[in-house]
Parts: sequence; structure tokens; C-alpha cells
Amino acid sequence: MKLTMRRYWIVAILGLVWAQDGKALFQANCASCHAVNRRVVGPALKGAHERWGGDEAEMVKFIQNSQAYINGNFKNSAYAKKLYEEYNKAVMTAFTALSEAEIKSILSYIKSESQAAASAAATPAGGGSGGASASAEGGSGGTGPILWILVISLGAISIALIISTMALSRILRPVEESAAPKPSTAERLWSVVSSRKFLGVVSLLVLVWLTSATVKKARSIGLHKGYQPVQPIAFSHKTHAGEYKIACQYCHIGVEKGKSATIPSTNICMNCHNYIQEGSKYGTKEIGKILASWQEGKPIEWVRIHNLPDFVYFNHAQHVKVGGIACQTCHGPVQEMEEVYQYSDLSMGWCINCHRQTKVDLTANPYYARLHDQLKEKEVTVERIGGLECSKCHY
Amino acid sequence: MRRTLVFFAAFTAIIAVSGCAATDPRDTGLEYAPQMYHSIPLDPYSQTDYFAYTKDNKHLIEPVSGTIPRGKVSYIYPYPNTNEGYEQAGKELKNPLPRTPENIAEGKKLYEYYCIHCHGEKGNGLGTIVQAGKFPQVPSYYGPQLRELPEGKMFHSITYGKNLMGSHASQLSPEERWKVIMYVQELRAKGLMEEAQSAASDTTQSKAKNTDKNQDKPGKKQ
Repeated sequence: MKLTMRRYWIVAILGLVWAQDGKALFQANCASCHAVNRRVVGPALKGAHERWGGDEAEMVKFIQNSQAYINGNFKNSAYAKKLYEEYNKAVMTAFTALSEAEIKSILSYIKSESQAAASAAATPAGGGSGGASASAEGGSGGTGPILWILVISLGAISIALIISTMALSRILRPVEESAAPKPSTAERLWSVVSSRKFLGVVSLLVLVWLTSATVKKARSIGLHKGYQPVQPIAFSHKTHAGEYKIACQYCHIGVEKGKSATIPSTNICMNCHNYIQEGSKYGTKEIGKILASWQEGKPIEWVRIHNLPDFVYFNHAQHVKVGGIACQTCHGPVQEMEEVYQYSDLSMGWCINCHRQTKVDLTANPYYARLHDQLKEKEVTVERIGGLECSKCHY
Repeated sequence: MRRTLVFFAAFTAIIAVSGCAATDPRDTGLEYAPQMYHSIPLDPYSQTDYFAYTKDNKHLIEPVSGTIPRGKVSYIYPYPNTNEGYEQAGKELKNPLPRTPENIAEGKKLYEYYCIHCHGEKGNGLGTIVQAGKFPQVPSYYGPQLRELPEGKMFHSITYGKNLMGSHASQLSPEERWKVIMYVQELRAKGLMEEAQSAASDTTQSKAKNTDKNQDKPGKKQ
């Protein structure tokens, strides 16, 4: 055992320089279909040398022209044909452009990688890499400051009440002093609390509270700014759009073509996730849901965040394609959002305000040439070309 | 004087507290007259319990087989998703769009939406997700595998997908695919030119570039 291990190390060290070159070649030419430790499009290459009887010359022949090798009469043709059938007759590219030396350096890289994998498997897995990184990041950070505001303002109210009680009791004292026996503290307190002045002040404060709360609540009716529902998959826009810089349009394909920006169907997820099956944060738990949806043919039921009332017409293409507005103008910094929330309040005032201020590019669109002549004395806002007409949105 | 101050403080505090209600981000909030917010006819992506399009309660459905949606005649694609279809498309299929600067510019825009994160800004296969080590390196457009790839095979690959690349037919219309292909050809020409220039400049490093008989990637049956 010890001896073989040592031999492995010697081989590994000798092959290291060559293998590094082989690694670059492997990445550029092979990695899009093969990996050492897992099946991708083609088979996992771990232990390929053993399967080919250690005959590198034959392997080189196969790699340079796999079809000729399969159909020809070479040493391992039968095995190659079996593989070809097993992998749904996927043709491996003929790498005639690679020299024998280059292919051998790739092979030595594969060899050293599969030995590394084998020795890693032989040593008992140390500790295990911690079960499902726990800590679901506590409640959403938004509640903290609000709680503090509540505590502070409640404190302020109680202090104000205490001070006003004291002030009122001082006002009332001379009247009470005329009575002969000194009243107890409880009696004095009761007389303060039941006095008309005190009750008046308290009911005034309650009235203010109720009015203010009602007005605020009423103003929030129909506005869902900040709405952040729990989605069926913990999909992170921060990872996809922020870190990997995947364009919004890659998934939201309708945004320049029609009314809806569209929510991607599972096949779009699978363009990447047929390979990437393990996430850095949740492992296979979340990505597994995509795979399940794909295998079962069941759409993922995402929860809608932005919803305009039925009596408003909004078209994404009109704003994004013609108007040239960035997605972030309305949706906020989605590329920084771990979990998406509604950024704008999507109220009518919000729409109107933007239409009042947005200047129309008259030079790029011939439709506006005539309008331009009529309007050019003044600045042309969307409002001035009918952006505030009721029927622009309500029909 | 002090009393007014105290009352004023109490009012402000009460108004501040009253505004703090209903801040749960999971809460949908209130809607006035919800029947005006949610239409009776189904909007795209709306989900209902009382009505389903299909037997298995799916709302996202595939087109009925054998039908062509209005305005989608160009979606008909005659070559099957087989090794033979791939080869045939490579031989026969030609770009119907003229090679104009507008089409190429449009192709560049689409390339940046749909291709760049794998194939890279220069088409060398080093996109953002490849560089992050999440996805294996994809072949360079001007590397030995794809150097001589005909446009018909490019179209076939975008339509059906190729090896690890999935089908992008749902994301790109046929016209858009051809525009992307025009831009890919631009990138490839640029990459080959740069390669030739650097090879010419340092002839001492004579690593044979194998510009002769290269083959593109033959097909794969799904």
C-alpha cells in the first residue's frame, strides 16, 4: 500500500508540468462534454486508462477520429462501439488538429486527476463538510429599525403622559387642599384620572392616533411597495444577474417583445442547470426543485410580485424597447436583491410623474417629426404627446 | 408653555407610531375593490383554482402539436435533431438576412443577452459563468473545433442545442438567431485575425497553429 502510494506521488510529480499544459488543453477542448469525476455529455474520464488497458496509443487514435475508430478494426473498436451506442450515438468531435503530444499531455492530466480523486476517496472523509449550511439568515432585516422606532416612540408617549399627569395634578392640588382630611395617594390619582381635563387630553390623543393610522392605512390601499412574497425556489437575482452578469433578457424574454416581461419556463433554467446541479448556498436542495419540475413536466409556481390593476394597461416593450428605459428604473437594483421585492409603488402618481419628466427623443423616430414642428417651442415631455390622456392607460 | 411642548411631543410620537403598522413584506396589503384589480378573463401567468386550461391543472402549456401560431411560419424547421440533420443543415441552410450594419448591431445586442455569459465577450468561451468556475469552458469560436463551422450548423445548434448547450429556440426567434450568427461570424473573423497577427509577430514561438484541415463538431443525437 505504502509503496503504491509513493509510486503514485512520483508519477504525479513527474507528470505535473506536463499535466498543467494538459489541463489547459483539456479545458479548451474536452470540458464542454467531459469531466473527470462525473458524467456530462460523454462518460466520466476517471479510470479511462484502466478501461482502455493502459494503451495510450489506442486512446490517441480514438480521440483524433472517434468515428473512424468505432467503424474501423482497431484493438478496442468493439468497446468504443459499445460506448457510442450507450451514449445515444453522440458523436465525439474528431480532434485531428491536436498533435499526439498534445493529446498525451491531456491524457496525463486525466491520469493525475483520477489518481487524485482515487486517493481522496481512499482517505476517510474528514469531518464531512457540514450539513446544509443552516442559519436561514434570520427574519428580514427590515423589522429591526421599525421595532426600535416603536419602542422609542412608546417611551416618548409614556414620558409625555407622566409629565402631563404631574402637571395636571399640580393644577388640581389647591382645590383638593381645601378639603380637611388629606386624601390618600390612590384617591388623589383617581381624582386626576377622572378629571375632565385629563380625559379630554387622553381622548384627543387617541383621536389623533386613530386619524393618523387611518389616513396612512388608507393611502397604502392598493399599493404594494415592498411586497416580498416567499417564492417556491430560493432563487437569487444577486447571484445570477449580479455576480454572473446574466442579462435580464436571458430569462425575461418577452420584455422587448410584448406586454409581459414573462417569467422563464423551466427549459430556460435547464440551459445552465442541466450541468450546474449543486448551488453554493443550498446544495442540491433548491436546484433539485428545478430538476424535479423538468422531469415531471410541471411548471414552477412562482408567486407574482408586481400586479397592476386590471383597469391599467402597461406594456413592457413600449417602455424598454421604444423608450429605452433600463429595467432598474422601475424594478430597482434587482441585481443586488437576494430575494426580489417590489421597489416602486406603481401608483398612478408615480406613472404620471415619470411621464411629466421624461423627455422624448425626437430625432430617432420619424413619427415625431410633424409633432416636433408643432411642439418645438417648448420642451417635449411624454405628457405633451398625450402621456396623461386617461385612455392611454384606462381602456 | 411647557404644557404645549408636552402635547406637541405626544402628538408627534403618536403619529410616528401610527405609521408603523403593516410593514410585513410577506403581506399582500389591502386592495380596494379587488374585482377591479384581478380580471375575470385570465391574464398571462395568472393562476386560478376554479379553472384550468389542461387536465393536469397546468397554466403554462405547450402549443398543440401540428399547429402553427399566427405569425410564426418562420419557426418551421425541416431538419431533424439527429447527426444526419445536423450535417444536412450545415450543407444546405443559408442565412436569408442581408449582412447589414443594423443586423450585425442587433446581433451584438442579442449576443450580449443570450450568449455572452458562456461564450465570452470575444467568443473565446470564457464567459462570466465559465470564469467563475461554475460551468465548464465552452469551445472558442476561433479554436480548432469551431473555426470552420458553417452557419447552417450554428443555426441547428441554437435551435436544438448542442452538447451542454440547451436549445435557445424559445428565447430567440429564427430571425434573431440569424442576426446572432452574423455577429458570431464577426467575432470569429476578429479572433482569427488577432491570432494570425500574434502568430506573425512572434514567430519564434512556433507552436503550429494547425490552420489546415480542421473539422467542426459533428452532430449529436439527442
